[in-house]
Amino acid sequence: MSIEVQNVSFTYQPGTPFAATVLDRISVTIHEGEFVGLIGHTGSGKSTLIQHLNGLLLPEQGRVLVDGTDTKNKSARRAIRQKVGLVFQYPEHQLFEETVAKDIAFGPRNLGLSEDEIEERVNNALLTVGLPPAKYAQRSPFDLSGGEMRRVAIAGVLAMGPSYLVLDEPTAGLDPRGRDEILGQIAQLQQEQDLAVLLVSHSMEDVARLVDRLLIMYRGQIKVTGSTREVFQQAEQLKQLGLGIPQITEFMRSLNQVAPEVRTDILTVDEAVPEILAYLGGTGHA
Amino acid sequence: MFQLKNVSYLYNEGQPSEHAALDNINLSINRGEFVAVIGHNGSGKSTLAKHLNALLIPTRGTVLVKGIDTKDPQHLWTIRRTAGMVFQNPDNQMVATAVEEDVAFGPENLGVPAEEIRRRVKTALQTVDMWEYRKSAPHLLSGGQKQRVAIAGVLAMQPEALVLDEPTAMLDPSGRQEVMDTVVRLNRDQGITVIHITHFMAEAVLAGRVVVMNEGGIVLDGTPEEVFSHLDELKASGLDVPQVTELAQRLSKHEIVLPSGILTVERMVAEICRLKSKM
Repeated sequence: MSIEVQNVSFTYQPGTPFAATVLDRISVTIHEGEFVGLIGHTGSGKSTLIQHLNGLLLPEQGRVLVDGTDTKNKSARRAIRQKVGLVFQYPEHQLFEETVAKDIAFGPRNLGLSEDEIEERVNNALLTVGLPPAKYAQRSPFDLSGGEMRRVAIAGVLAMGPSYLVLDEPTAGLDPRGRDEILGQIAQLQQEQDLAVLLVSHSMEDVARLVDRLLIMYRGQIKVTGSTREVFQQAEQLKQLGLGIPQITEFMRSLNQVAPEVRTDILTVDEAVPEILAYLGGTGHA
Repeated sequence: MFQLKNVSYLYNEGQPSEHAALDNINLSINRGEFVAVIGHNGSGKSTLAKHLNALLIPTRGTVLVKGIDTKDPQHLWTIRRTAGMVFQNPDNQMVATAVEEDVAFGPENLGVPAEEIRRRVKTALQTVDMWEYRKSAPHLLSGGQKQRVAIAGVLAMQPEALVLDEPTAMLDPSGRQEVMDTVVRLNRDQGITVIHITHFMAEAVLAGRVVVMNEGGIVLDGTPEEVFSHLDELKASGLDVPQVTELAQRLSKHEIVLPSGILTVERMVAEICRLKSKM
């Protein structure tokens, strides 16, 4: 099972003087259960690409298959939207119901589920995002903090029971604590429920510690792809694309210039500590 | 330039939902300083910013701007002209259909003569590197460009201080860079006093002074090196530190002694090499 993007191109306002090709022959596969990061400048085509994954946009050329079904297949569209959950930027702007529970129930209710099943899904989704139902279910979403509102919006997508979760900058505008809470819950969800997650992010530090694989977009194309460790080894190429690497990776690379024995493929502070201890201890690699 | 004496500010005063966003703050900011104010959401940093140009008046205590009490309604416009504010969401700050008109809006309201307005608009847009976009429609600009236009709009009022309330929170990394380059330049080259509210630590490192807020109070105040050496307090306040700073602290637990307040890759490499050479 997978989402397969096959040779997809997409142009906004085709045939007009404003025509802009934003996806240029993109091919990529998102496998079941994997944690993938998507990075690129504003305008590189990230948001357009993710809207293709659940059929909100349809390719002008090429095709997108979700578990084998073409997103152009109209009769399958509902099933595809349920399978591929999309969390937009600032999703809290889309909250509208009187209570948190009603807001989260909106999607599942449209699936025609029983009231019991709906309630169970609402409660589970709230627990998953770290908001105890007893405390939050009956509150107005508009009385919550920004971080809580965003988690309610994510719970609404989770309550649909997706196999693939696509998040467009889920931590934009949050402070470090709010960011760590949301990312921690997403990582846990991905591991425990075997959910495939595609995380769009501007933070190299965040993707470095979370995702298995990275896709780097630039002007409508996927320019670099590989395991997170491999991709951050290509600092020069990332720089050419106007992107950086985590500070800790940069530090190890700089140190390596004067101390060739230290590793350069370090992604987190946790990994750097034993490496530096070994270097200073002069005992070689532990 | 700014003096806050025992300032408290209560939201919903007298109601059950009353809460103190600022709790007995004392702070003095001198002309020409570049001060970063950091803190998690709800720590009171935006409320503090709004006191600096009399958008909010303290519930208790006194705020003086160039010696003028912000409680004095007679001098409201003097205060507002001293400290120009830029907010988080660039889209909420654009009023006109062309960039140059947007920048002219403030001085027009001050009754500045037309010739002088034209001169100020040009200078302000050149300062933020947006002069070539003067005829553009603001809604077609990138987030970073919009914020630079917003800064130009404030500069056209010729303020002595800029108060920036999370101007980069909604921008991508290149937009953040553009705005920070502009802010650093304004402070360094033109001597404009800058108060920059942010929760991006990489931005706080650029300031000459960092003030950390938590629960409506000031918990740390010093140079970036001093403030970032208090790693545990920062973490308890829900804030990040640069990864090399954290690495230095983690190494200290293994009896690797490094000076406190290492903030940059270059410094960390130099310190590690220095240690190695002594072994």
